[in-house]
Amino acid sequence: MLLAQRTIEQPVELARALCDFGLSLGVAHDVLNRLARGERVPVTLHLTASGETPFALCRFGLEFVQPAVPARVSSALETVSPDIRSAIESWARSQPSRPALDAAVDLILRTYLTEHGLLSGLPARPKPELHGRT
Amino acid sequence: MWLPDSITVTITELDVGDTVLIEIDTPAGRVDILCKLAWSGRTLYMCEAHVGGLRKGALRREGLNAIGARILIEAQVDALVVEGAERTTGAGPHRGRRPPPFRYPR
Repeated sequence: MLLAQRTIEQPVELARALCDFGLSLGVAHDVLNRLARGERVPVTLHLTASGETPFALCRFGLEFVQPAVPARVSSALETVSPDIRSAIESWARSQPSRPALDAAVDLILRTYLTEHGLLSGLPARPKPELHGRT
Repeated sequence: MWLPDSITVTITELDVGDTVLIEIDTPAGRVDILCKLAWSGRTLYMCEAHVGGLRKGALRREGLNAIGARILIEAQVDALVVEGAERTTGAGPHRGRRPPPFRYPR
C-alpha cells in the first residue's frame, strides 16, 4: 500500500511514474487523488527488467506501508469459540514434524553423500533434532 | 500578456473515463495538467486537475489567463472551468483541500 508521508511536489510526474509500473492513466489519477486525501492506497505495480524498482516512488514523498487488519476481522478472530480454536490446535499438532531449515539441509546433504559413497571420510554427526509444531 | 499563438496545447495521453494528460508549452516553459474532461453544453470542465512542470508562481495570473484563452480557442467552447483536485502540496490545513474552481469565459 502506498501512503504520502509528505507533500507531493510533482503530482503529474508521480502519475507518469505510476503509469510506468503498468497502471492506466485513469487509475494513476485516482491513486494520486486518494494519496492527496491522505489515504492508504493499495496498488499493483508491474515490474519490468528495464524499469525502475518500486522504491523509486519514494522520491515523490511516498512510503510503502503494510495493510492494516480491518477491525472487524481482528474482532472476529477474538470471538472464535474455544472449541474451534482447540480443534485447530489439535489439527496442527497432528501434522508430521518437520526439521528446521539448517537440519533439513544437513539431512539432504548427508543423504546425497551417503547414496554416492562420499560420506565415509566425514565424521558422523548427531541426528538432526526434529521440531514439531505446537 | 502572451499572445494565444505563443501557446500550444497538446493532449498527450487519453484514458477511459476521459482522463487526459495535457502538455501546454508557454513562453515560460511547459506546464502539465492531469485531469478529467467533461462537457456541459458549451462549457468545458477540467475536473480533479493536478498541475506540474513549472515552479510555483512562474505563470502568474496573466499566464493562466493566456492559457485559458488558448484552450477556449482549441476546444471551441464558450467557457472553461478548472476544478483542482485535493492539493498535494501546501502547509498545514491547505494540504488535502480542494482549491476553488477557476472559470474562464470567452
